Amino acid sequence: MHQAQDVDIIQSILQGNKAAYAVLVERYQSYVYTIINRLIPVREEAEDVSQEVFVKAYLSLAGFKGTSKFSTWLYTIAHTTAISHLRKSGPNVVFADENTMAAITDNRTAFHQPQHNTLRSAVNTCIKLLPPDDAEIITLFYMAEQSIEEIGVIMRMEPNTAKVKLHRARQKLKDIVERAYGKEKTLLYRN
Amino acid sequence: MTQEDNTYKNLMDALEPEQPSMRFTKNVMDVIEGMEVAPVSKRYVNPLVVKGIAAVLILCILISIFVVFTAAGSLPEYTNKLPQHFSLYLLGINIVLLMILAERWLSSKKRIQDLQDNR
Repeated sequence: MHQAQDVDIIQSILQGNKAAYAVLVERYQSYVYTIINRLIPVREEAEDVSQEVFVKAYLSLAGFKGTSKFSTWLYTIAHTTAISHLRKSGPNVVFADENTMAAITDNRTAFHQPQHNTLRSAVNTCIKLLPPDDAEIITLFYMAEQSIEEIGVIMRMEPNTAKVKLHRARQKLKDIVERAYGKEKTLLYRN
Repeated sequence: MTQEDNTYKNLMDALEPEQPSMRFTKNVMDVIEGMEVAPVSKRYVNPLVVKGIAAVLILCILISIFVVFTAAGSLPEYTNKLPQHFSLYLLGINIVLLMILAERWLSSKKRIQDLQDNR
């Protein structure tokens, strides 16, 4: 939707109009921040990494060839920056396996259930309970409106792998919603 | 589409991105204040060098195949211990590998094309 404008803005920046970059930052900051926040749950840390992403993107803007959407290019930088940040963080970051996740899910959903006043906050809470890469793929597909092929480019995997991974992530999210709300899930959808 | 699919789609439609702090844009602009867009760097390896290496390797393989087929009668003793039609099997394996390589190349080309179409 913004693609033509994005290219125009980039041209303008490359011609020396540095202030125009603020438009791109405003436009994509929430998506970049959300994608990174799926991988790095600590808010301040996620914000620092998001800032780093925009600085990196600015510095390598001349390298954007326009062979893909600007958003895809930017989210690729976001993904790789977040992953390398996690690698640098070392043993402090531990990804739970599926059984652990299920146990955490049971506890957390039971704990947070009374706070689900709106559908939006309920969905966001459930997504946060997914393993990071599943939460990221759901975010990229539904929120950032990236195609399967584009997700493949961003997450460095074959499109078929991305498709299967998205399907599994959707199933896991569905399970979490059902586990949290059980038969009353229709109430959640109606809110 | 079942009712459950519909409700699930509604669930997804409700997604909204999270917001960073109010000063986010200003912070980024402050950081890039003293910076300039980096010029596009030249490729680390000259494509001609890569093509040259590939050409030499292909030439070596072709020469090897040629030698194997032409010098079949004067091959060293140990080659008798190799299974019958060994060179044919080898050729077959190479053809399969070539086909896999071609498929990968074509699918990567298609992916780039798809991305360009989605712009």
